[in-house]
Amino acid sequence: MFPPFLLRVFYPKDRRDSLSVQYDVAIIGAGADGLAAAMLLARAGRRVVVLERAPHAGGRCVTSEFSPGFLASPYADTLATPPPSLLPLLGLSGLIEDFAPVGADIARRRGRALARVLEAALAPAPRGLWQRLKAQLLAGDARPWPGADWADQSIAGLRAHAGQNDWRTALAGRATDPDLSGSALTLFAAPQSRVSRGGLGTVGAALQARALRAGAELRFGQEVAEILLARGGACGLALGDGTRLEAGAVISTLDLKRTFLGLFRWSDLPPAMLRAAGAWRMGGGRARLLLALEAPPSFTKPFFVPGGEDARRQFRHGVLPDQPPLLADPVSVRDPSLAPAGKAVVTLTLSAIPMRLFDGDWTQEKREALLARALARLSCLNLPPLRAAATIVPPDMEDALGLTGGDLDGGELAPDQMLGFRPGARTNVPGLYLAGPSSAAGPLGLGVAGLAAALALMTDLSAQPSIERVR
Amino acid sequence: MSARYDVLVIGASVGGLAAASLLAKRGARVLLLEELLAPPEPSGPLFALDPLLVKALQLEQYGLGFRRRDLKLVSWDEEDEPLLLSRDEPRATARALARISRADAHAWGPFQAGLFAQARALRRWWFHPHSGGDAAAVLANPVARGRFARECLMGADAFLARELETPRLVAALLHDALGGGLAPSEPGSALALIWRAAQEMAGQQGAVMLAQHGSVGMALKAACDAELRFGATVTEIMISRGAAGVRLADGDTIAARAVISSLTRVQTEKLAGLERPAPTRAVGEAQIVLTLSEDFVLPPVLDGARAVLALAPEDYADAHEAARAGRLPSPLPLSLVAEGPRRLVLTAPLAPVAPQEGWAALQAPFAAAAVHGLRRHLPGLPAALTGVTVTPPKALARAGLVQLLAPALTRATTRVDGLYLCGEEAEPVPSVSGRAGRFAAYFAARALQ
Repeated sequence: MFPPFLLRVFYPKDRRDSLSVQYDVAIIGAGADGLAAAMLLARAGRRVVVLERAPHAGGRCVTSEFSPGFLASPYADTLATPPPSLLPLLGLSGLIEDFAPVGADIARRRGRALARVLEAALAPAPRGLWQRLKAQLLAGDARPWPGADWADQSIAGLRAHAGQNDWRTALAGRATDPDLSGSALTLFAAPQSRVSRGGLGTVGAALQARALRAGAELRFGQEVAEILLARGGACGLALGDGTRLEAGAVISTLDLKRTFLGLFRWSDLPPAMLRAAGAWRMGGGRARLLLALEAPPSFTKPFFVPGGEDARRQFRHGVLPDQPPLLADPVSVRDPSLAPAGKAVVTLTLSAIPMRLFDGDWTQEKREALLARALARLSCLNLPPLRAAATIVPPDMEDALGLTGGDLDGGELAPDQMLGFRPGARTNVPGLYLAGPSSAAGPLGLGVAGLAAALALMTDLSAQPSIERVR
Repeated sequence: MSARYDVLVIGASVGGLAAASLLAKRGARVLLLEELLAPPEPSGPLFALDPLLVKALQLEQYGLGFRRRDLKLVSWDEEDEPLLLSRDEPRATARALARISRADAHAWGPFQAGLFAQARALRRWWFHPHSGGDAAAVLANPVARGRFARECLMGADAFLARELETPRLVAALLHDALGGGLAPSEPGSALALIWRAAQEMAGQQGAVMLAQHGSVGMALKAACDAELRFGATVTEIMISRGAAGVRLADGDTIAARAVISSLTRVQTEKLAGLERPAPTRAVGEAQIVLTLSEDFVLPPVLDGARAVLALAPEDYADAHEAARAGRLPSPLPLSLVAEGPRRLVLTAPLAPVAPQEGWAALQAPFAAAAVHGLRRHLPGLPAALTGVTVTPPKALARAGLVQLLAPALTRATTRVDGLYLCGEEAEPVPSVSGRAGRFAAYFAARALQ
């Protein structure tokens, strides 16, 4: 689908400008996007370092042993498929499979949207301090983006069109109201792929291996405290332990809020940009329950239980819903490597779970209440006896993945925040690139936002002889 | 066969009377059919009366006077002192806002300026019968176009929260975005706010409300040269290569070359025998008219003002969800205007169109919920009530972004040639303006030539 772009990735290395800094590029976060960007840049001969706060790579693409012998991916079971033509580049050929193919119409629009993201990354950006992000954040793109005509459609209205399975899996873990117009765009970010064996951790491991083989350096347990600026451009990072790291360019895979509101001194940013980042709305509302069962469950396919009438109302008011909508997925049926023989793992993805509760923190009792309520919703299925369970609520996701509000999509999937209005890979801070879930390709395809940021960076390097000259 | 009439107008609403008068003035043979025995009186908060209509029909000489351009907005909430927002008194408004938030006092001016600048640019497109194509094309400035593209897709809650921080202020303004049955987060609701602003600029907002109750209908009726027939119920719109006349309940058929209906699109299409009428919305605007006893004194703040019961912004989303499910929202979003000292008109924008128990059973609890909501601000109201009239929401066709971005021609025409709409639905945001009648008359006259 994108051969012209890929040809340009491997442009002659002798044109490389030599940057007199420690690293050419520092990447914040070793999630799928960070690893993909690191791989591409290292292959192009850049000195790349990836800084990861956690002791392991992968971000959400991890699989953990939540009870002895029982494995599951804690944050999601599925991922948004990257365009098939990019799979070999990412080293994911044969690893992931479509489980709920979206309608042909959605697939086509998503493909066009992703093509636009990569096309924008390869186009040299206009000059001018602060002009670029303003153009991207505030004014948007003049061309109608693929799906603009869907802004008035609701998922409920598209049900017949999209097929039975699509909209429910698209909603899983999101507090979107399927009856409101605009909700149809959630289908663009529908997770439609899963890993055939070993959970999402396989994908994380494959991406990590590829980045390392390309020559990128990965540093674990390193939290970034600040993006350092010199003469208006990013020139390095200050780490949590006080060390400083010089870099010619920085790619942040954090979301928009965390990048601009968390890693800068606010006085360094123009007020309009701070306002835009502040007004960005996070969605979220996802909780995950990992259940270790003594015997295989009676169902073999993902099973959606609609929420109670009051679920979204309670969510808005910070109340733990009595009957949250949930998707039960018997992951070990498809992939027996996740559970010991004769046992089973079922994951529950709950929607409409508030990040902040009106009556204080997420205590152990509240987590147990959530588990009890979810199990009560599944009582009709006669689940086998429960051996162990892990509860992951939105604040856990925020802490573990560094995503504001625990929102895996990097922002509410409302029409005004989708695609055309999401910031692209370039930001208005010279030398700072955005590759996280908030950036345009973030919710559309695994790792594509990272590739887009790397392409944008390399395009800018070849267009302007040196980013250093800006300083 | 030559038709006896050129145009039949169904319903003596503001739009119907306007269309009939304008066509009769042009020399067309017009018959206005009204189901009731007297023309119904438009009631409720008038956002604006179409100034071109006032001019064309010279309504001023029939006792309709404009006294005030600005209808102040009073936000009533848990605080003791109401928040008064006025366009004509920006300083007083900024002072009032400064009491609750300095940031909002500063943001208010730029917010209003931005809103009205956008409204000024767009009203040329929205309120012109010849407009067509893309609404964004009227915006010459690329920044304004970008802003417009975002506003089209934004929910009013996010649109307001972007610029203003006090939930109380956001909620008071949010109320106006919900008139078309949209949820506060639905795309199109921010555009509805801009439409309201454009509407307010196009006419003289609030002017009519200060005149005697009933003066709009009286002036329009007095100005109407068309033939009127009362007590005439239309049971069918006859079609032969376009609208060809109507059949009445008494069996009479009247032929005409065009038909203008002030009924809703759904009702009109049903009368015309179309197989699949347009889908209707589940949430609509209900009205409650309260008549008060002599000894009840309305608070002076209601003079020349419209009060909004400011709820929390989430309450609007809750109310929309409840109304969609056919339940009575609690708390109930309400706004009210006083039409004279003895009459209060309450508007509930988020009422269920098809409640589970049916409107016959819901009227009393609905009115009770509304009066209960006002207990804090109008103490003694229940004891002073002498009459309560509830008007349930109409089953209007679904309104949304598509309707707000549709040119006048699309809004006024139907799937049948020669059949036009002039009811409140021909305007995507509810208002009593008469503009829809002017457009319908314009398109009908053009088709007759």
